[in-house]
Amino acid sequence: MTEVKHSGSQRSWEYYLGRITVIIVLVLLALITLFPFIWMFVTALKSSSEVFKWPIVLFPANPQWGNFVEAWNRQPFTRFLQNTIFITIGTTLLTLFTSSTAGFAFAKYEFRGKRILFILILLLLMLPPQVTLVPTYLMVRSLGLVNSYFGLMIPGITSVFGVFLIRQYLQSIPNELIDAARIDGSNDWGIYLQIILPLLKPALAVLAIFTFTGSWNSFLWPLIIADSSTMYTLQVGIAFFSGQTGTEYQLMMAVAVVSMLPVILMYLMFQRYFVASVALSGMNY
Amino acid sequence: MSYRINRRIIPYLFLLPCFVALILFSFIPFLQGLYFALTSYPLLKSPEFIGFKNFERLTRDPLFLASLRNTLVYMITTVTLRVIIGLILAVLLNIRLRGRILFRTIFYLPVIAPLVTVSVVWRIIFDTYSGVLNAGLDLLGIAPVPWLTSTAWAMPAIVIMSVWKTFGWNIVVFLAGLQSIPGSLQEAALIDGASRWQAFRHVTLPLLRPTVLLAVVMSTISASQVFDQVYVMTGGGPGYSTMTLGQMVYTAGFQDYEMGYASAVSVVLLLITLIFTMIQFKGFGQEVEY
Repeated sequence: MTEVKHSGSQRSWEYYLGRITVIIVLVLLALITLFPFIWMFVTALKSSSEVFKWPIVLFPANPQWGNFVEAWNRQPFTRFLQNTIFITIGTTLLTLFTSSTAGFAFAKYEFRGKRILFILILLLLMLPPQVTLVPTYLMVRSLGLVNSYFGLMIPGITSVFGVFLIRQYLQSIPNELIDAARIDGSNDWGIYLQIILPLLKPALAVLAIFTFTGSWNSFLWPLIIADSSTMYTLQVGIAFFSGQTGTEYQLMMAVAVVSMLPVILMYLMFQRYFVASVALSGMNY
Repeated sequence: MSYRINRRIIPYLFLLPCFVALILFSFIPFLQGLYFALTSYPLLKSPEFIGFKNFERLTRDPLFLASLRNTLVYMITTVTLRVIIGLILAVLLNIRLRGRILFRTIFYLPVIAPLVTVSVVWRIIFDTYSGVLNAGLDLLGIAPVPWLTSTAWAMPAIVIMSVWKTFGWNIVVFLAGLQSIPGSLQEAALIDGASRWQAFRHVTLPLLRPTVLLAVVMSTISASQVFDQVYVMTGGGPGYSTMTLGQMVYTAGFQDYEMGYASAVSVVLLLITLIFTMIQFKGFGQEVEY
């Protein structure tokens, strides 16, 4: 967009010099950005003596793939992984439900208090999590949900971004579809299930990816709600593992690689959805 | 008649799941938090109203004063850096370049990675004796820096790591902002004889004001809550040098079990976020039309 058409095919040497400088800057920064990921992987394959060799070992002479197995068995990481998957899927499904129903109401109905309720959602969900942390913990505790899967999911089951996204998406869909279904005798719940949800597939995909990563990566809440190691998530397990393992950096990095892999793969597969989600939430606040 | 009443309730029924969760787990806890801040509330006992005593105690608590100062330093430095770096890179990526999608994908990668996990990775990178960062500095003839073990360097280390983690988000937001500005405006400025820099400074930048506001506000809100990287990389130390308000809410509430005192800290955290947001809206918030 900043590009201006130059007359004919002639371009000055300054133009090419500028481009080359830009590319060099971008490549350097890209390498710096990627470096911690590369270093994590390389370190995960080092032997315990290579980790502390000086001058530093850039590539392990003999990649220790066994580090992954050893690290994984140091703690019940399989259990942590199961917990994480379960909580992530539960949180994502609940968020899809609460966001699609509320977004549907805001997009396709007129009702008293609509504006105020919408503003309230925005305000509430912008609260820093630490502000509600103590009381929410006390409430979850009094409900007997500490150390339970539902307790672990709770703060994540609504999403301001989700309500926003669904509302926005549905506003662009003509009402005729809904009216036609109503004439055919569908009730509102039927319209939601049979018309709205299928239409929402692309928006729900964005929201699912977004919620999945957020839930997979979350730390503070599982840290206080998971009382015993049987309920730890991967992130909590890794934080404690890194505290206890001391200097066995190769093992820490092996676990780090595994815990990161699912979100990274998901990101690389659905890259354009992530960018779309930021652009969209960015435009609207 | 029954049909009409029924129709009126329907939207509220659709709002119910979302609002029940919000009221139970956001709205009520928020009000409770404001009240608990005025109480003495050891876990396992009931809250006892003590007025503003918690806040008086905060003004005398060296841990709190350090946390407050560190949080402000962290917020101002990280937000400035991530917004400026994000803006510059977005402008560069907005040029039609081969591979710009690849660059964008790479710059956004840290944003998506789990914060705790990358904090563990950076802990190793920052290691004084075996860390790769000091190995690199050694090549340049710079003596090893005690990144995470000295009071002077621990906060800069956390800032560096956090900027790395978040600048990609700003790039994507600024790119979206840049692409929403009609290209014809810049072209007009260039045709009128403005240099590229002048066109950017006087045409693009003013139009980008709402995006800058968004980036600054969202970055500030997220920076005010800094927790994971502090917890993993330094635990608030050495001394109190990287203790932040977010970290203090955690230690006061879930290690010392002083729920009232922890709530008071969280109220201060909320106030800081509000004050910053209000200043930013005043500073950037004029309407822009084009």
